[in-house]
Formats: sequence, structure tokens, C-alpha cells
Amino acid sequence: MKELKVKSISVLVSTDKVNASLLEMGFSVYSTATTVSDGRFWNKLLFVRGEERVSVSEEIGDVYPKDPVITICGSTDTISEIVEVLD
Amino acid sequence: MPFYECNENQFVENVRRLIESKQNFVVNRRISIYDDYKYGLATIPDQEFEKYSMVCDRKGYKYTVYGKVPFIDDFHGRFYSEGEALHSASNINFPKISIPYYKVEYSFNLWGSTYSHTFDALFEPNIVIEKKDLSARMKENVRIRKSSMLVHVLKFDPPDDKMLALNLPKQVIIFDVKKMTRIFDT
Repeated sequence: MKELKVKSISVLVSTDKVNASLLEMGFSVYSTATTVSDGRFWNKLLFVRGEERVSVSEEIGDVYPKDPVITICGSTDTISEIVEVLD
Repeated sequence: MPFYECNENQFVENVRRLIESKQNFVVNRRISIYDDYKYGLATIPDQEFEKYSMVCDRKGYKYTVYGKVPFIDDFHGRFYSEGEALHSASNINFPKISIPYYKVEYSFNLWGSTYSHTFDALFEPNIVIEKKDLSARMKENVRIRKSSMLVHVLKFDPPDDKMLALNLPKQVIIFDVKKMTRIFDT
């Protein structure tokens, strides 16, 4: 089993693009939740692929700019692949 | 003793830097359930309010919320009638229906400083129609003589355990704690 590393990124990329890329990479949606932090409401999606987990949190509402937070716990290859999609 | 608040991005990146610098550290986690009227139906965003639209209605954010149909709040064991104000715009800090949530607090200590990230995870509404025995108040409000009837029931489902966790690798030691006491230097 590969060693898992962690990386968290906050980017100005639409979550639709991120979610579609994760599904293409073989991740599946595990669960969703509404969270609140810093006084802001977030829609949090958790993707899993084996032991690897990626959460995508996007602020709810008409907020601009939207800067979803993507937190990855995965192999170095997976992290690189996701970072490439976000560039 | 300084106490630093981080957002998710900052907290996870700080943990990553510590792992990469081969620092020994422990992450503490405290998960507590709250039902303290912090979140009410008038003050949640439209996207979240949509989930409740089967039983209540509002004109917009921070407007008064009214019951659309008679329903039972199963979590708190209360009955609400059609047209009843569930969260008044003029009394925004005191909603009638409280949305329960888990407060999740992550923290670690480094060189005498504490770094933390806190977030709330709201319970998910689950609205179903069930046959329920009616109390005297319920009978009065729905004007029915039967002892039981089909009625909308608002349930609150807790978020999945995995949604309360930050995505941290297995080599990070996480201690679950009940209470954290801060000691301040004099």
C-alpha cells in the first residue's frame, strides 16, 4: 500500500470541474454535509477511492469569488494529478 | 500562551509542514453535539432552506418562516400547525426550531502555542409522512376527530462520522478529548 500524504488547496476553480475530474479519476461520492466555519456555510462533498479521500468544500450562496477548499489525503501521484487539474 | 485560529486549508497545510519536518505532535479532536438555537430556519442560506421547503416557507433570507403544512418535529417532539411562525424576523436570535449540529474542534500544540480549526456540521433534515397518534393540541389544530393520521414528520439525521473528520494521513496521531482547558501565563 502506498504511503498517503496530505495537501489542502484553496483555488478559484469551479467545483463542477473539480468534481467531474475526481469522478473521471475513479473517485466516488461518499457523502455530503453542510458545515459552517468562519461564519460561512459550506457544502462539503467527500470523495473516496480505496484508502484515498478528497473533500471539496464550496461556500453556499451567491458569493463571489468562490474559492473552494480541496483537501486531499492520497498518494503523491494522486495529489499531483489533482493539482494539475486545478492549474 | 498564544492561541491561533486556522481555517481548514491553513490547519491541514500546517499539519503537512509538521509531518514533512518530522516533528512529533499529537492532534486533539473534540466533537460535541449542540442544540442551542444557534441555527434557525430564517438564517440558513436559501440552498439549505430548500431542504425544509416541504413543510415551511419564507420570502427570503432573514424573513419570517411559516409552517406550510401541519408537521411534527420528531427530534424535539413538538407539533407545529399550518401558518405558524417558526422563526420570526423580528426575533431572529430565538428560532422556534433549532437545527442541531456537531461542533468539531481540531487543535495541536507546538512550542507553547495552540493552533486550532473549528467547524460546525449541521444535522440533515429528513422529511417523511408517517401515521402518528394525535395529541389534543394536534387534533385542535388539524380539526380532525380521528386518533391517528398521516402527518409530515421532520427528522434530523446526524452527518456521517467521516464528514466530521479532516482528511489526515494515518501517521498523524489523533486523540479524542472531552474538554480542553487553556492555561494562561501570568
